[in-house]
Amino acid sequence: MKALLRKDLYWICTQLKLFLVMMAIFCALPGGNFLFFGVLYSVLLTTTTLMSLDETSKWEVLALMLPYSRRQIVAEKYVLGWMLLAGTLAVSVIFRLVWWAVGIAEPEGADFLAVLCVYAAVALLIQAVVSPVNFRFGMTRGRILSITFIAVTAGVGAALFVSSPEAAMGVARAMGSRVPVFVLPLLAAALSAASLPLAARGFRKRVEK
Amino acid sequence: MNAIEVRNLGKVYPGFELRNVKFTLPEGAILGLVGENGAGKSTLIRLIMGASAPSSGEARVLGADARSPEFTKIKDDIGVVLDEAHFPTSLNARQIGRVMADTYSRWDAGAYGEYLKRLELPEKKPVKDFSRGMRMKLALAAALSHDAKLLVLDEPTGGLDPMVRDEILDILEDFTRREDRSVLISSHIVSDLEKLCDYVAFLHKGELLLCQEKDRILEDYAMARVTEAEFESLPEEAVRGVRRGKYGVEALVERRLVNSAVTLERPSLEDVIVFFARGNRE
Repeated sequence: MKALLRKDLYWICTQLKLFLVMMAIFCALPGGNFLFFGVLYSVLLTTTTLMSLDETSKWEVLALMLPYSRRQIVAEKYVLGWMLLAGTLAVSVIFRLVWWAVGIAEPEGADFLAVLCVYAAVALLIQAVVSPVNFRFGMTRGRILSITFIAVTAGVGAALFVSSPEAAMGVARAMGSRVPVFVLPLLAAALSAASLPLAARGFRKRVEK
Repeated sequence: MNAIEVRNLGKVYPGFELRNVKFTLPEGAILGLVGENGAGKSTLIRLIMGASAPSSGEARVLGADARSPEFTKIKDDIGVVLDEAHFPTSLNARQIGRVMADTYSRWDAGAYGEYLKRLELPEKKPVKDFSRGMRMKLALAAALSHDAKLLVLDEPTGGLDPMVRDEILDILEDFTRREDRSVLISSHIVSDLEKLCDYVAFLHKGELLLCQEKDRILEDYAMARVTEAEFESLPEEAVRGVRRGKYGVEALVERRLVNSAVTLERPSLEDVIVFFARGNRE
């Protein structure tokens, strides 16, 4: 696992420096809109970009012949995703504290933490969906399937909202009043962890066929 | 102990089938796996390394079933070189060394550094700027720097110039000086294998046509360059491959089945492989 993490950190430092800079900028900008991209990308970096690089360089073929288990190969991508997500959240909190201290932004306190919780939950949910698909089908087909899934889910949600906005808002309000916002990322993290065995099984099926 | 035991191994893909492959690589020996492109060499190596699931049969490597969970640990004793280096392309040799140090429990950074120097590989240049020869040398340096008991090489010399090929073969000869080290090397360059190997296995269209000690092959088979009439007098069961030309017939024959009155020549390994592949189709 340590070797795989080191390999991916080298990939990021040598090939994806620009993305790290962009993520830091998104985390640093005041307001929550750009922050979402920073948080989201921390997970997509591992589930799509690094997996694409592994496939293109055929590292996957070699990795299967080195002393790593298939489960380790899959789990490393999850762990790195979680590490990057935690790092992104920490960086964004630090920047907020600095902006408040120097008076660039108004203190947002609990609201900002609630926004972070929702963003982290969304990022982890996307990881839980995209990772098993990409490990099972490889990046070329996996990317198409993941985008289709996300687009259809968002489309259905939007259609429900447009067709009956009051009912949709009612459901959202009811959920919001019953589930504290900080529980959302914990639920999403549990879902993400639960998707790991599924991703490992999918990966085994793809590489062993 | 045998380094590799392959029993009735098979793999079915749409349009290709590896059929019932059986062979043994004794500890301390070098086995060359010969075959044309698409014969199934890489498929066989993937099965032996547990990277792919067989449709039938089994492969045991250094005493463990390649499909078993404990084989992951056994791979610590195996060095692998594939037909391309397959390293992350933006990493340099030094970074790859560090990744390998976390991969193999007996990684020897000193030995790796020595190989980089010997093979004139720059430590800080990204792999993507390496030539094919340099990439293969880097893969070899990584495979040899953790005190492996078994080396598995898939076409390590394919597409390389003769100087680099020779350098790689020299290093492999050095590796096998210790008696407990074994090598499985696949190639379609028969002359490379003739220099290096104790055993030769010939894979043709997914089928293992021949697997024997190299010296035994060269003793057991012979080339008969004869007229058409003389060819007709050869026992049919002795002929393993034939080529008819303007000036006569060339045939690979089993020496023991041919009358001693017929003039026979010692074949090269390439003759044996080529004529086995041709068969009696003419």
